[in-house]
Order: sequence, then structure tokens, then C-alpha cells
Amino acid sequence: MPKPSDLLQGTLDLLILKSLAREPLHGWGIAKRIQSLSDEVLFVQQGSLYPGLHRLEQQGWVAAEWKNTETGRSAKFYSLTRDGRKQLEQELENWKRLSSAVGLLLKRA
Amino acid sequence: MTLSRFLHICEHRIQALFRREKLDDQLEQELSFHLEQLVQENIHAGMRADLARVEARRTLGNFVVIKEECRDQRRVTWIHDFRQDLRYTLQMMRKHAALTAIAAMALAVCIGANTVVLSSWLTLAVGDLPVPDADRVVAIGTFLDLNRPGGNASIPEYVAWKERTRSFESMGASITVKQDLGADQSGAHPERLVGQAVTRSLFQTLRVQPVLGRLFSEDEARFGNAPARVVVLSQPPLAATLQG
Repeated sequence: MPKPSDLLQGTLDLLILKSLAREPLHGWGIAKRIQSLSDEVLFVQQGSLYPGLHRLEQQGWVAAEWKNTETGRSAKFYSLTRDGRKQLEQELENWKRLSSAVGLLLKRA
Repeated sequence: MTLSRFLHICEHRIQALFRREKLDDQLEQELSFHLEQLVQENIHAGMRADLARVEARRTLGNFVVIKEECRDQRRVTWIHDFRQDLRYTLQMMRKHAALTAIAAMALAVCIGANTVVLSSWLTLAVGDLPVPDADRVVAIGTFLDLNRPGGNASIPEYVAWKERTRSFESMGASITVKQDLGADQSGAHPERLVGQAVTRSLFQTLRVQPVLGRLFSEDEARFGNAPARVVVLSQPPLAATLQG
């Protein structure tokens, strides 16, 4: 099995926002969700996840709340704000444009 | 930016400024939680507890660096840093009072010397206009190219400015004129004199009075077909020549 790939520059925000689209999650949960939804292909550098999350929180795309986990430990859960949902759509749009352009290039080159 | 997002950002900035310790505590808790999950995962995978912790720390990376990067996202770090630097500076200045006094005196002497040198150079090189309140006098003109010196203005522009501008106490204008003077019947050659046709208000503006004789009156300030036969001589040698 190949080694998990590091994330492409600039895609971390998109993946964080997307993984929060369904339900609020804590940082650990987000890292696991990204890993499992990508069939273990994408691997978030765990150290860079938190600065990314805090940046999104400061920008108002995600909101945070302290809640208890299933095991009873207190954890910081992140959820999408309404503006965050709009930002996610925007980021998805950008991603589609970028990936289709790269795909086109690879097909033609 | 929507209003809700703006308020959200403001709230975070204010918290970051005034509740820094609480945020730092929460950050510590958040990262410890993640570390704990990693340890548990490693133990489930069959690792020994002590090794599981070492491995978890390795996976997560340098705690201090991550915390610093998270704090940087609050965008107010520079205010804290500035406050800290200022406090440290004042402490050091108080601790080394003698050194501070010497530095302050050195600065005072340097600034004073600079001012003296620059202002005397300005007087020597540029010189003041020989009129009262020279620092309140400005030249006004329109410029085709701001990078080139020497602007001019048309007469209608001058009239409009004079009527409508409230920023100046008084305004006058001058136009360069050339006159040939001195030719007579005996065949003496005329002399070309270069002078200025000026408005009466120019003397008022510059607050100058003639040393001899008088300035021209409002009545004599005419332009066009019948200019008044009045001149104001500005150069003593020229005045001497004409008298002779």
C-alpha cells in the first residue's frame, strides 16, 4: 500500500469545512474523518490541523463550543457557521475549477 | 462581509486581547485531548503505554510550535508583543538610569546640531524672500507635468482664484513683459527692458512699499490698449541709468 499523501497546499481549509458539513466534530474527529473518507489516502499533518482550525474560527467560517464526548471528556467541537457554508460552496467551486483544469492539461499534454 | 461574520470576528479579537490566559488554557486542553486520543489509538494497536505516548508526541509534532502557530491566528499577537517589549524597555531604562540619561543627551545634542546645520544651510543656500512674513508667501500656478518646476496660470484663472478662493489673505499676479525704450530722433538705439506687468494687489500681498515715489493706483492698473504710463523700478542701477 502506498504511503498516505500529504495534502496539497491550500486544500486543508476545504477538507476541514467539508468534514464539518454533516455534524460538529472536534479536531481529532476531523483528522479521522478526512483519513477515513479518503480511504486512508489523505493524511492531515496533525500539527498543522489546529492552526488551520483556529484560522477558520478567527475568520468566522467555523464556530467552536466545548462539549463532552461519548467517553465523558470535555472537547472543543467545531461546527460550520452560515458564512462557513457559503465559504465551503465557494471553495468547492474553486476546487472543481482547479482540478478540471489540471485534468484537462494532463489529458492534452 | 456579512454583519454576523463581522461581529463574530470582533468577538474573537476582543477575547484574544483580554482573555488570553483562558484561550491559552483551552488550547492546551484541546491539544492534550488530541494527544490522549493518539495514545489510546496506539495502545489499541498493541503498543506499550510508554512507547504509545512517545509515538503520539512524535506524530503530533512540536507542542510549543503548534501552540505558537495557533496563537498567531488570533491576529493580536503583535499587540501583546509590543506591550511586552515596551514594558521590558522601560524596565531596562529604569535599571540603567545613567546610560539612559547619556543616550537621551546624545540624542538631544544630535537633533539640536542637525537642526542648526539644516536651518543655516537653508538660509544660506535658499535664502528667505526679502519680504515680511516670507514663510506665508506661496507661488500658485497650474502644472502640465507635476515633476517639472515652474507652473504658470492664465489671467482668467487668476481672476477666478482671486474671486473664489478663501485660503489666501491676498493674491497678486505678474506677467513677464518686454519693452523697447530709449529710441529718439537723433538715432539713439533703444534699449530692451525686460520687466513684469503686475497687479496692484501684488505689492499689497508682498507688503512692500517703494523707497522713492509711489506705486500705481487702482485707476492706473489697466491692461490692453491704453496702459497707464507708470513704472515701478526694482533695480537701483537701472533707475540710475534712466535718471541719467
